[in-house]
Amino acid sequence: MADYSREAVLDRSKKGESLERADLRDVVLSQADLESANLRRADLEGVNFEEANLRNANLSNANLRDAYLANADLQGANMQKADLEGANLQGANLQDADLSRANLEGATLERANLSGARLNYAQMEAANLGGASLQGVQLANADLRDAYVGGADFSNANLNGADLAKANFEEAILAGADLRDSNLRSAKLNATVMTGAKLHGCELDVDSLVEVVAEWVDLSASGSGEKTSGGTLAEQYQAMRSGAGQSPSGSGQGKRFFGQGDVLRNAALEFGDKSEVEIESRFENCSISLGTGAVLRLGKHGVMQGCQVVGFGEIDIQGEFKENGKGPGIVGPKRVTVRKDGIMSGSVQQPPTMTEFAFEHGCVLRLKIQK
Amino acid sequence: MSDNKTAKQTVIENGTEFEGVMRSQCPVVVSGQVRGEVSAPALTLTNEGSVQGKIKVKELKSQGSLGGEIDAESVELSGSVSENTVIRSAALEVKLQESGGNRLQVSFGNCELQVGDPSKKSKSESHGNAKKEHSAPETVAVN
Repeated sequence: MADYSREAVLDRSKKGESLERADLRDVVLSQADLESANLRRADLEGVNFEEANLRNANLSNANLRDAYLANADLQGANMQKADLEGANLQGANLQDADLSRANLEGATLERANLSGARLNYAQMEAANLGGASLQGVQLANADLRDAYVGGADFSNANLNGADLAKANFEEAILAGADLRDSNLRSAKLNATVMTGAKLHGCELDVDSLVEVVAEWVDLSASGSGEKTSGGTLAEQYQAMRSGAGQSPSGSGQGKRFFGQGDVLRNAALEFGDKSEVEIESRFENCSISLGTGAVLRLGKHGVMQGCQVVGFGEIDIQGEFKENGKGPGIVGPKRVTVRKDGIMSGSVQQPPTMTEFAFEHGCVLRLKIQK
Repeated sequence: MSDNKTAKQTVIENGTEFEGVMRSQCPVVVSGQVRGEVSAPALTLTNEGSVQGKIKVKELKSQGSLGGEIDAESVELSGSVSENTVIRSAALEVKLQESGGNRLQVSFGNCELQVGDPSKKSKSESHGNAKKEHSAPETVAVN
């Protein structure tokens, strides 16, 4: 027996009263107006929400297994960690919704509008996204194995680190999409448009590239939009895999050490993927770019003042990092650690996948964290 | 510290929602939801617990969802920190989760952390071999 009737649900929602953890199974909520409703952790298994208005609703951690959400309006809804396994979201409006870490295994999202939505780390194995709009969607590290995404538009989407093995991308648009470090093994890429796609570190079957439509792709580690030229796409990709086609910023693997007493001012430094940098010097107003997996250690004597560090690397602060207030001192880091004697004063702009933070007892922080 | 004092706890159980001002002389454990003002010697949020509002405690340990304006002497964080949260504390500890597939121990929304006293620890002025052009850094702003 559900906790509330349809009328009671609508009444509570209208009054702005919470429906958190409510058991609403078997309640028919088709065409219901539930804008901004708080349904966090609610049990909504199998509920019919067809054409319901759920704009900006809070459905985080809700159980929506096998729910019927066809043509529902979920724009801006918070659906973090929601369980949507087997749910039907055909034609739903999920623009700018947050579905990070949600479970969408086997869900139907045919022709749904997901543009600008956040689906980082989402489980979407065997989901049906045929013809869906996914422009600018955040799908970093998502699991889309065996998914059907034929005819879907992923223009400028972030699929960094996503598992796309065996997914069917026929006639899908991946123009400008970030596919770096993703897995496209055994994926179907017939007539897939990939002009401007970022493919560094992407695992795929070279033969499948024959079917791809692309004027150029970006094979640089930094994904800075460097255009490939010369040879077929398959040849360029193979050259990248063997290391010959890497841009200088991507080939900087190794260790760098800046010793105590040195001063570096107004410098622009680029450190490639997986490189290690140790700073015991004083850096002033420097601009530092870190490749994926790069590690920057600011030793206990190190000082970085007015500097900006950009990239999906790991930053370990034992010394003092102090920005000049002109912008985030650290942009897009994978991890930021401030050790017990470390001082961090400034702001961190997190990447879509969110930064891992570690702070040791004794550290000093004047820190603004931006999502 | 007396054992009798530490044995008593105010517990907000899972499924309980509390809204308003709570002042306690005992440690408070929250597994349910609290919205408002909490003042206590210690506050512990279990992974089911949520406190949103003004928190003034000596010791804060959170595995749940935390948000608002927090003043504490020491804070141990995991779980999540909501949007527009300010944490002021003498000490803060956030550990990386070492086990499991997901290493994210705490997720932060837009928030502000003011931890420790920067004037006591600044390394800028005492930097080794600092030359004349290394002017002393401006004082770190404390809100």
